[in-house]
Amino acid sequence: MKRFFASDFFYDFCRSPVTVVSFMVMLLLLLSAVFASFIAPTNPFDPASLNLMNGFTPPMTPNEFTGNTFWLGTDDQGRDLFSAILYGLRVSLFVGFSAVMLAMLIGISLGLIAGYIGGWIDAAIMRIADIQVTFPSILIAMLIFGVTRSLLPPDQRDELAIFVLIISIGLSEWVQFARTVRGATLVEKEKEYVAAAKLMGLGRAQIMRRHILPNVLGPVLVIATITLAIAIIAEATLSFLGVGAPPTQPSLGTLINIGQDYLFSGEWWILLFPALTLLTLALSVNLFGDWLRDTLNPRLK
Amino acid sequence: MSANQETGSASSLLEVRNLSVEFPMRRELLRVVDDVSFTVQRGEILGIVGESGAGKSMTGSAIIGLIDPPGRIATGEIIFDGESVGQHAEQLRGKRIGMVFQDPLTSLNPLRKVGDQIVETIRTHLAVSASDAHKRMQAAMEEVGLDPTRAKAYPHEFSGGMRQRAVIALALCAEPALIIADEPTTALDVSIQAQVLDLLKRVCKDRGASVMLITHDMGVISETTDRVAVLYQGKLVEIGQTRDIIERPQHPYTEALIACTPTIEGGSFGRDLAQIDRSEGDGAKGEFYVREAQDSQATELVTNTFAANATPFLVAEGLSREFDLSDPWLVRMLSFRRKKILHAVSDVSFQIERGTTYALVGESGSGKSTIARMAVGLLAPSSGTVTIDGVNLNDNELGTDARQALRRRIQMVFQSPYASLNPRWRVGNILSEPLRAFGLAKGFEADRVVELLEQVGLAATDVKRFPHEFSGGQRQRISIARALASEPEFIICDEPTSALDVSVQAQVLNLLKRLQRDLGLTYLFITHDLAVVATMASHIGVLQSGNLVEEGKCEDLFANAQSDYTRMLIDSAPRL
Amino acid sequence: MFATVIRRLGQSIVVLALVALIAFLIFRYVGDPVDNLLGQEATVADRIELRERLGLDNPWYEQYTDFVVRALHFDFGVSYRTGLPVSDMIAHRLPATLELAFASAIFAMVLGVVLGIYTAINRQGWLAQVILSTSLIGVSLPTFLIGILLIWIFAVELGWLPSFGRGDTVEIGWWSTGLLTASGLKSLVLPTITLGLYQMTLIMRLVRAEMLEVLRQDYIRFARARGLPDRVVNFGHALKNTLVPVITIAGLQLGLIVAFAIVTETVFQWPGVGLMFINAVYFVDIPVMSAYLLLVGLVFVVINLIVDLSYLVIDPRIRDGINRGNSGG
Repeated sequence: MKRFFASDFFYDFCRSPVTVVSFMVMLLLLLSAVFASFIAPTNPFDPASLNLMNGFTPPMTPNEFTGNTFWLGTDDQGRDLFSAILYGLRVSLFVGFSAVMLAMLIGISLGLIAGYIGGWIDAAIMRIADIQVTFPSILIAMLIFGVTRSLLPPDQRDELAIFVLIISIGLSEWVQFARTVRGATLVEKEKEYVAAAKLMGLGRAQIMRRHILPNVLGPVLVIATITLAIAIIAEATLSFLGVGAPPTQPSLGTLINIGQDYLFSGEWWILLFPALTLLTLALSVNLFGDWLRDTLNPRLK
Repeated sequence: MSANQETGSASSLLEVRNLSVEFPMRRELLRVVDDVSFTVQRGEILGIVGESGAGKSMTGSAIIGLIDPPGRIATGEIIFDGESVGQHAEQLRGKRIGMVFQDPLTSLNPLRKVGDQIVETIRTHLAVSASDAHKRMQAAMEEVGLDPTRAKAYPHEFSGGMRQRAVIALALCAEPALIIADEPTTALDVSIQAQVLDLLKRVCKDRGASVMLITHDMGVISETTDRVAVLYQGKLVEIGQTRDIIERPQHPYTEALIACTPTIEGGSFGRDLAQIDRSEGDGAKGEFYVREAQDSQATELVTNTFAANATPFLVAEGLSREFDLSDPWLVRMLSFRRKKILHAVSDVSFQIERGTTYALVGESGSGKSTIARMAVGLLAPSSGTVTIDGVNLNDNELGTDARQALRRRIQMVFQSPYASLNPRWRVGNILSEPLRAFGLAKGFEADRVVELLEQVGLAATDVKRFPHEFSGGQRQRISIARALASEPEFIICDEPTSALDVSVQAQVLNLLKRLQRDLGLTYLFITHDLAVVATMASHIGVLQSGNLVEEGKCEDLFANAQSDYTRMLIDSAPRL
Repeated sequence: MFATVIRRLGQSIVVLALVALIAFLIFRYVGDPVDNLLGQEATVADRIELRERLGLDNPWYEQYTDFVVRALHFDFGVSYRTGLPVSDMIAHRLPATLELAFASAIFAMVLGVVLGIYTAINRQGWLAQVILSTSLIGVSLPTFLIGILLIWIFAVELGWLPSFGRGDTVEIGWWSTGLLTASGLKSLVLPTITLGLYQMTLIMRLVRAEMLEVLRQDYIRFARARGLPDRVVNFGHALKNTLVPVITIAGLQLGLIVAFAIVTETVFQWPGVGLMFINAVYFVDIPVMSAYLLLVGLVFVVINLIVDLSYLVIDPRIRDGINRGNSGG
């Protein structure tokens, strides 16, 4: 642990104020989402707690009927926007992280196997990857979503929507991981420490796991960060279009969708605050990812 | 004169005065060139020699103002043809001072034709018409020994030597007065190296141009330069006429450097090299002292003991290996191409006696690495056998246990100090892995690891460190320690010192010899450097394009080579 | 070189066949076509008759071939939702999407490349830094948000540009274009910027990264050492070498335009195939979904093929079958 704080990496981190800020913001948003149930003044998705009379209250002004004040105002159903955003953030981040985890799991395993074992397995995996990359991930996600929806009975569609979302986004993003890991594996497997391991009689799985894997994870971190931003935006887009998180478990995208209807009639806050939150989230992740990529690039040293 | 300062005269072409180059790093300010002064006279070839970190490349880059930030010239003056250079370095580039870099593959733009690149340079500096430039380009190509009809070729279609000639043509085409050549032949085979150096000497004599030749190779210096400057850790330690410096070096570092360099000449067979003992990697202005070369009579002792045992330890019989580089079947059918088979090794047979060192020599593409991998079991031969102490490693009947037992007895030390150790593992783990794999030293692995470290001259405290904390030479020692862990009888050394500085090479080679004496090891030593062979080996085999063209005892072969190829190799090797 | 061309063509055909297979599987096996076409009141006899007519009980490979053959004749079946032939729907809406896509692509490529080169060459300049910072925002903003914001500012608040629809269009044969009317052009502006902004920032950052990488290479250093002026080094040497990897990714990014067109069309109510697709997903209108998949698959495969083949033109190393450089020295 001490080595980390004394390392060049941490030093560069502290030297860039923008990065420190973006990291802090990320952390803040993450913690807010995790502890949403404790921080939020209300649970906006519990129908019992809603009062339609609270609807359309502007931020920081008392409602003309009930006298309640809400920091960020309320939407058409009387939901406290601040709470809604916190819960929405939670959904967005949950989907984002899970999708990236899934993509990493698939991508790293396949990349490692393809790179190390080579032969027809490599050719097959790369062929599939090439085909998949021909199509943009949003489209694939929509397709998977559409198909799954029609296969599921209607009453279960909303409940499982989140998981379908995670699977579709995760399945559409594994290629980048696989290709990078495969490239790095191809380089590492020619290195002499691998030959030395073979001379000790170690088997393929052992060599892949113990020797090669630790050395190909470097660039994965950068890609993970960037993919996280992409996944968050993808989820928001899908939810906005109505094929993502349902209104019963809305994410920031769903909230924006709701807010769009009221933007031009004057209740601007219903759209603006979720939009700003989304923007801040994506921006901070991108900033951090950018810095990470620049720092970890060995050739820039 | 061999002082370490030199004052210029009005007729010097280039005068460097008190040059210092700094690199601000995170914690410190690194002085890579420290108060260096020298001159280059018109028409002479000045050598700049030193090991890695000496600052020789930096000096060359500083002269034409190509130091990449954050590096910068801290102090000093560069005077070219009587005028101070200062900020105007760009105007000199190409036109008055030409430059040749080390790696010919990356020096040329891969997407543009060779001829076009030459024409472009000519037209940048000389006000000539397009057709004139074209003629000059062809003349330039001829001058460096390239066929002008190949001007429309791309760089990847040329061989390494041809590319370097193209690079020289590019440096010369605007007719500069000075050429700075930064390790121009390091990436080339020995035979090509000799040709390129001859070319450099010839064109410069023809044009009356001067050359500043930067290299780490004393042999190259000896054969090519008129005067030489010796750099050590950024400082100029000695400068003077080349022959004077080599025969009567004044500074202890120069003396040590020359003594460390292995040579083919006169009775040096089997002798240990001098080595420079200093703590490595601390970057301080070193004090060092030279351990004198020793005659190793002990080698003869070991050879005699084993002479009684007449069965050779390793027998290679009719070894061949092909690689299939063909395009996939369908593609070949449709474009009528033939199969492309690379015959890396063709019918090679040799034997190695126990306790001796057999050297396998060849240039790149000769198949020596392929043979090494077949000998150790990493690669199966296409035909032929390798038998070690009677057992064939590639025998499919061999059970897992028998195979593992055989693996224990054979180990390998590799060429690259950077790629041979897993960068994410601590040294302790790297050394204990073979112990665990072979089931040795159960219960006292840690002690054995320390024992191994000390055997190669490292400390017990190094166990917790990572490879990147060590210098190149130290990493090779760790590699050697790892090879020793299984208590092998036979070690294959695949160019173990090619990537190391001369002084470090001496240390590692001496270590290998001592281990051979102490532990009775047998070595198969792969190298391209004949001088190293002379130091290390008792027997030698010469490979050319996969064929064993000659073999025999070292003394016999060096004195009286039978094949033309061997003779050419011996003649091309630069000597002091 | 001929060999490479053949290989690529072969691969493309295989991919297309695979896409067609997936489209077919969706078309045939997701949901029940008979139920969807006839509704729930149909008699058993009607169902049997429909099944026979559609050939639903034939072996799958026959149905697949039938599907492909019909697709080649532009017959994609009938929409579950509207009852209209899908091919008609597509033909009606395709021009809208294509015009939008081309406009955005040109916007993204031209601006992206120019800005990318500028920020690479003038690394330290303040304008470059500003452009880079703004680009980061461009990458962090989802397309739909950009659209909404643009509508809010330019259509609602300022009233300069229309907020939805395509404006007036002119029919030329089968094609309807919005490029020939003032209102058509004005309607094109906001959607184009929305759709193209994300791609533009992506391409810009890519070009910049690649160019910086190229500028670090030895041959650039050597070119400077030969005394070539900066302008020649940057544009004569660095640029061409930058373009090679940029082309791949730019080509693939153009595929993203087709995907994000869906979003843009939704936000601006632009009557293109994207909007058609999203409605199909929502209403589980299978024939439309599968037709869209085929269409889009074709577009992407063609784009990829063009990108691959353009490599052959630009990089002589690939022409000679060396894709990893180095011949031995």
